[in-house]
Amino acid sequence: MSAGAGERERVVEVRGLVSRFGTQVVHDGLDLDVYRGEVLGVIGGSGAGKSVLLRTIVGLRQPQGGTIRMFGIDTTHMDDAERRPIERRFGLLFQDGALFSSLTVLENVRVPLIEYYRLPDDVVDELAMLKIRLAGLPTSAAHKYPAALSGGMRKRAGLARALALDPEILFLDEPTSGLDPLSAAAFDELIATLHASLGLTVFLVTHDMDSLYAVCERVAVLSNGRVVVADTIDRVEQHDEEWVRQCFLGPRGRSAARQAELVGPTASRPA
Amino acid sequence: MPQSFAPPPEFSIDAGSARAVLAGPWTLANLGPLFARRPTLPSGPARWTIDASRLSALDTAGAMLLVRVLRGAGLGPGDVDFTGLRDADLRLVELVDARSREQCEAGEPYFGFRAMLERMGRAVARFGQQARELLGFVGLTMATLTGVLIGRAKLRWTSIVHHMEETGLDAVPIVALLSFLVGAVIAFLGATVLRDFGASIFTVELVSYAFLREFGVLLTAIILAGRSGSAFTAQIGSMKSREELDAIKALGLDPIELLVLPRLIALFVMLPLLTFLSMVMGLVGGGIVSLFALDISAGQYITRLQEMTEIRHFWVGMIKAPIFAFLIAVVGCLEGLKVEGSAESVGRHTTAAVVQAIFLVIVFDALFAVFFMEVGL
Repeated sequence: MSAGAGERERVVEVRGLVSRFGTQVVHDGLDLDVYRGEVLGVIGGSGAGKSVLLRTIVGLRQPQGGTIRMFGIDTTHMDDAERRPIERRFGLLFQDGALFSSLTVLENVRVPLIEYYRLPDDVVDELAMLKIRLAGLPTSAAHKYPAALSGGMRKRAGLARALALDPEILFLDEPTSGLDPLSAAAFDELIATLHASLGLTVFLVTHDMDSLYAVCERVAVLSNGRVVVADTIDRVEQHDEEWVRQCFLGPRGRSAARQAELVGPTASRPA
Repeated sequence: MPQSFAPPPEFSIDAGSARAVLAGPWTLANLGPLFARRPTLPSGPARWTIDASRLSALDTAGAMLLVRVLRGAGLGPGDVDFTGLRDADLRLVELVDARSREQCEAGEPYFGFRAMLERMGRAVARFGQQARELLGFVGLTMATLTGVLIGRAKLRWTSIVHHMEETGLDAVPIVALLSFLVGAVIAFLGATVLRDFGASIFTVELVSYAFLREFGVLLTAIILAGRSGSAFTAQIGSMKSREELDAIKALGLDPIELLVLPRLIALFVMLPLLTFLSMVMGLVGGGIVSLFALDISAGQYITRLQEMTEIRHFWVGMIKAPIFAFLIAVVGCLEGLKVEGSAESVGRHTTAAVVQAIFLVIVFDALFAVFFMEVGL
């Protein structure tokens, strides 16, 4: 990994992003950087444009203005064919896994492997199985169809598919929403483990204050179409923007912070 | 991580000094050929040293290959000495090794003669079950309908009118056009065959008998099965898959009363009306062909219609319309209620609804034909 002179490599650079739906402006000149090897948490109120930001970065949505660079390449106006080599380098986990419902979990994970690379069949199976286990699923789940899995397992299966191509950066869209507190905590831990062991960069969109404290090294707060602050969580807590204060000093923020102090961060934070 | 101009990944062994060298990028994108070569490590008494100082990158696929190679010699990452392997990469190898040790169970194979027999048996059993379900649902709908009549359940007028517009009014153009065309086609058929006998004028009877007794209602029913029956399934099915039906029940409401009855009643009213339209348009289509191809004037055509075609043929066709409406609505709604979870299920049940509805419509039409023949109508 080539870290430039003293400065960390930017995996994603968003500059002056403008997103509009009709007359409703979601992003108004938004700037954001994601550095290699970090876990960045993106939070904001409902409708602040977190998911839209994620979809725009990965190219599922065309922005109305601004530029997006991934891995140093301008991807803003790429067509599908140009985008393909970029797409192999990131993984995306949708809110409910977005598994192909007509395929088993194992087949779901095999899809990107088969589509992108020529590998012997048994190697594909073994790799897919490895990803399923890395995502913390029992092997018995591999031959089940998504409809037979619980919400938490579907997310893990979606994560296994996102990990299939060994992405450099993983985009997670509210991975812990809809999970019970124990499953959510286990998922946070899984992300922290994968981040540490696979050296992944993680872009995490979340509502979950516990996730922020447990896994994120940096937190970006979206409000009024811009990133209000993007910094370590301790510094974000001190920020005096209205939404940030209400969020972090409100009952949920305080209890999550207290919890984090008691347990200590599960993520291995850089010194 | 630049991958395009990197040298290919390499694995070489020197059995004499018990050294193995890993070089190049051991990443998924580059590993295909190396995987296909299936490299091995000869097992020997010596403790192997693995030199990874020229390894430029390692991902889970590369780690898996390394673990495979080691395991082929009956070794684990702890049984060899690594030199030049970065800590992070060593952790990755250990993680992959630990995770892939857990046994993998095979899925059930699903082919062969016995599996085919099993599938056939299941299909037959399912057919029987479907028939029972349909019957049960008809009873449930009837019970709710009776509830409405004696005032225990409410009739949702807004919903009924909405569905009348959707299934009835919106279907007018397609029913009219298709009936007109089929009427014209039948007249052409009659013209071709009957002209040889000098009996062209009987084309009028051919068109009127066909449309009043059979085609008007059959055509309308089939169009509506494809158009409205499928829509019922898709609407109710997507509600079911998003748990809206459970929400309705949890609010103490009855999904049959709320969703099924308005659709049933709307189709009950609209299908006979559309059948009437279809009959008229079919006769018009036949008339136009008669006028231009057979030189039967409009006046002649209408007089002949009035003289030769009895009103009972109209009633024979019309009486079937509400029954077909009932079948289409019930099948469409029942299939919608059978949807489970996934979006794929909605599609499967929608197809099933159309196929079943058309099947039932034609079967009942045949039964009616036998019945009317026996009673001499």
